[in-house]
Amino acid sequence: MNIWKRLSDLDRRYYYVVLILVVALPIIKPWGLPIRVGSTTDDFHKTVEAVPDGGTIALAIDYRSDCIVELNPQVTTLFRQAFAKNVKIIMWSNVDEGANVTEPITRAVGQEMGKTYGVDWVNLGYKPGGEVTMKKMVDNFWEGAAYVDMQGTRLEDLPIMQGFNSLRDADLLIDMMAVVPSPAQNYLKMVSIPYGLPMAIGTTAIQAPTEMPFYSSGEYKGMLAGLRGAAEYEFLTKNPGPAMMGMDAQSAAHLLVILLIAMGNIGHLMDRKKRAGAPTGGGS
Amino acid sequence: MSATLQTWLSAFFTIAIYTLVLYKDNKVFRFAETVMIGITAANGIVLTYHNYIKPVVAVDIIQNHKYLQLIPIVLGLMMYTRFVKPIAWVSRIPMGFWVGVGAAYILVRNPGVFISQITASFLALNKLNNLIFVVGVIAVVVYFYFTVPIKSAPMKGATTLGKAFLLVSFGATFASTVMSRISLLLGRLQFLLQDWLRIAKV
Repeated sequence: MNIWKRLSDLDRRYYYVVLILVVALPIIKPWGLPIRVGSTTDDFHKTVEAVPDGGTIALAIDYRSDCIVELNPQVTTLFRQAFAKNVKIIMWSNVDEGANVTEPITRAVGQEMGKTYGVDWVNLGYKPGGEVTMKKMVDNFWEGAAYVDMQGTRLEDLPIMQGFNSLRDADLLIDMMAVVPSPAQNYLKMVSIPYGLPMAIGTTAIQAPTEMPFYSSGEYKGMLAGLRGAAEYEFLTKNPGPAMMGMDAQSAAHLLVILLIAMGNIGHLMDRKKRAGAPTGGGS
Repeated sequence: MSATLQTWLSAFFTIAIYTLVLYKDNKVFRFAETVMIGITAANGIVLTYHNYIKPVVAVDIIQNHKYLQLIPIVLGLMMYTRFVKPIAWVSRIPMGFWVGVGAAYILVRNPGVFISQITASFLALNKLNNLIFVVGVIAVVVYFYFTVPIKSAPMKGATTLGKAFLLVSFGATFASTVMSRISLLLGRLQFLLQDWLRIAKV
């Protein structure tokens, strides 16, 4: 039995163990590979930077706990960049877990940067209803947000909400999303295109190809794509964090996957060649 | 090692889920999967009630007397009649309303996004990237042209080119999928090594 046959017959669990080791080693001992910033991340950074001091970012958090690795670093860095230039953030979620998964990290950044909840940022919690809620938030934001924040505090008791009556009052709309169908494309339909509100997104690597046409056409002013986008954003804002740390492991795993794909294809070609050369059996 | 109950529970459920791929289908995996589904469903119901239904009923209906808000509630409740056979037909009324509104919504809102995508494909052919983009769009559109059989050589060439562009696009999508899946594993390993076992720096 040749080596290719043995490798192709090997129990796939061995490959999983190798993958786990390849990802784990750079976590224990990081290599510090260089990071080059792409145009999508650069545009996202510039779009946030263009929000005037004292302005407001409307932030929709549309992902669940399975995507926190890629999207939580994006949200954390966004908060750091916005708070550094005194920009306020009003956030909510169209996905049940969204507000919960970002609550601890946004509180931590707020405390670290001396910001006050309800004055500099607010988490309105889960707001179901999809496009209907989006449209309501344009017509009457308070009604769309069901009059309360995540903790049940009435919006009239939150200073940040005074004068914010419509999504159109925001300077920038950002959707951090990782669900299907894409809430970001719904925000384009319901808010950004009809009312001319600039929009940017952060998403997972798996959804980046689906959203890319809207960035290329200029509808998204910027885009963070997956852990790589988060690492570039951390690098640009000089806030090294978990995304930059994770890129070493990500790169190592990619090398392994490329190696396995190459080996699989070589094995397949060798097998085909062997079969072509083998004498065909006679039949009655 | 971390001492908090929350971290230990997270570590247990992470390992329990991974036993499916590293070992085989087993009772520990089934337990973890069932707990996750139960918690997710309960979380969704509780959040919807406390964060939306309750305040809307309290403010809009009780305080502001917006009784028109009762109509969607009644329509929503009518959907449940499908579980009672003799009056199951009632559920078709909200369904019909839903389909009608949905179709109208698509007609009104979708063209905005669709047209802007078409407009974005009108590029000046003075850059190689733009040229590749425009050729790619045309070739893929030709590939999906099913109205008449494609017999002429130029059209066949265009469909072959369209197929090549599609395959490159599928390759990019597959690579992005690999990247996201690795990120999931990375996140869990970061948690296990940094937060639970504490053998890696945070």
